Amino acid sequence: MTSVLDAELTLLRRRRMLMLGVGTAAAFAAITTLATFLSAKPAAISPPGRGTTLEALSAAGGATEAFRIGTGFLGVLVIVTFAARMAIEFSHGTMRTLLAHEPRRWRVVTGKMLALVVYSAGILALAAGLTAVMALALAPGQDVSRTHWLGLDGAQAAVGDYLSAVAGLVGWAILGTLLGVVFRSVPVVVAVGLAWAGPFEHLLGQASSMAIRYFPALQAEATAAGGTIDVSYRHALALTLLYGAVATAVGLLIVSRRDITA
Amino acid sequence: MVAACASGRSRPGGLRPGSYGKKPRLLRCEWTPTGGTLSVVGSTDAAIVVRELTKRYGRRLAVDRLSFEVPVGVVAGFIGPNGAGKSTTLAMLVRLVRPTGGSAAVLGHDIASSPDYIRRVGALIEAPAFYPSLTGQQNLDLIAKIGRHDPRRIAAVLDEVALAERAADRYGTYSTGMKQRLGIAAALLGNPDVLLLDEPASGLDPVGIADMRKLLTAVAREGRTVLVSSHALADLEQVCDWLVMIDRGACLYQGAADQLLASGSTRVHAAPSATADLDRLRQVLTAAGHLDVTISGDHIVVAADGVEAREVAVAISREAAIAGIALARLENVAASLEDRYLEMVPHRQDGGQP
Repeated sequence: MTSVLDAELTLLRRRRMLMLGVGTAAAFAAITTLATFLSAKPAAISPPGRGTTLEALSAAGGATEAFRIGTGFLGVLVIVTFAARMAIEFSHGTMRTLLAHEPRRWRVVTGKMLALVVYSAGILALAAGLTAVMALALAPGQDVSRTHWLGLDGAQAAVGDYLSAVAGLVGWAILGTLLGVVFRSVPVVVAVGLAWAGPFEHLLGQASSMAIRYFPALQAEATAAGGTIDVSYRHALALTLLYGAVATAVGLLIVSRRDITA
Repeated sequence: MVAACASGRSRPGGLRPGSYGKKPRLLRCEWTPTGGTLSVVGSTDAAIVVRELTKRYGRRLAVDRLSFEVPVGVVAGFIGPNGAGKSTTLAMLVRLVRPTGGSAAVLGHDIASSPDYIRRVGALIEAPAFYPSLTGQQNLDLIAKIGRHDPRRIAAVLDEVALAERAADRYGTYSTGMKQRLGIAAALLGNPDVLLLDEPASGLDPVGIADMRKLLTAVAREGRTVLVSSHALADLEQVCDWLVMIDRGACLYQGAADQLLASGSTRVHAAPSATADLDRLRQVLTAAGHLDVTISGDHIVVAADGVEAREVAVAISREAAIAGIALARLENVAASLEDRYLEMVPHRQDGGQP
């Protein structure tokens, strides 16, 4: 698997991919930080559970609060990206080429997914850093105190936010990879990924607390956000791990048994 | 004596993985006394052994209890009409497709057990597929990493397929023939003992096809084995020591190429000096008892089925002289691989789909 991981990281380390990653991180940081800081209100006038407050931004995790909120919305993008990237390997025949040289299919699929996880985690790290820098710049104008950000508590909160985001990323990545392995067609996985992680789970989530507590993409979302008012971080992380394990098992079973015909 | 297989079945126990020495030894072939069929009855060295291999896609039977073997160190042609099951069989040999039934061994390794033999097999199955945004060199770098091949071979294989000058260009800019060359380079990258090539000459220009023939011959000369599927029968005839012919997923023939060609009926071509005598010559020869007499262009073609072609030529000469027809040309023409193929593979109107 390490040889596949190494080979795939070579692909992702190309200048074009690095530029794409930097651009994505910068755009994400700019949008989430501006949206968070400009919409933040004092807790006294902010409805509970509706957006962040100036007090929350002034707390230890305030520097990466925008990052934490923003990663919760990345689910659809991550699922579709991982699904499409895996599907295209099957539909374009490159998976056939690779499997003619590395016959253990699980190594190829897992190595490819892990490489993309590493690449995405790098983008998240950059995004977290850029978000913190932008937050430092925006805070004085919004009457947000930066006192608690720069201490040990601030650093711990930032690391915690990042690790939660990576945990959510892994959950979405596994679900997306499973979609790609099952459907093997880019248009199909994009359609299914968008419909499932977008309207399907979110609409049902609004209609039913069961959906919010148990649907896989929503659990990964809650994990990435470090927990929500409806779902605790521990509950979300446990279910994300469970769904990830099941999806991994199902995906690898499918990969090992299905014919590579494209 | 000719090695062949009828209805996709050889005699039970007739096919087995042998020892895999460097020097190729051909199969021992005998007539099977019952049923009027021919079959392989034993082998010593075989790089590929396929026994009762079957693949079914839903209701469609792609490969039907196919049995054959390929000796070590030969270039074996794998021929048959479109949809005969060639690509599916090759894909099964490299574990891309799971057999529905039967078994196969490559270099003595059962394909259903450990997949490690794949590292000793180079394969180009169906059309080549690489990353279009990477250069040819980068694509091979990637494959060398994944397959844990020696990266120093990349330059050598690019040179072997005459792609070194374009190695730094993106794969997406390659012509069909160049993509094919890169596919062959990738198959050669691991310095394989067995090379499985599916239509390798597809898209190649005449120089590329000639290079391909040289390459296949050179690979076999090193004691390695090549199983190549192709519809370019004239090219295969030039390079193949061994032939496996299938139709509708079942084996029609397997054995030495020479034996297949020698077993075909030789034809005698007779051209009268005056083309106006063509039809009269045909009537004379038909009346003299020749069963298969046809006019082709400026000459008569007489099949020498089961008879020495020389005797047929003498008889034609005699009958023509008696009838007062002067002959400008009289020659024996050996059956080509295409002739034998057309004789053995039934013509169908369904595009060859089984």
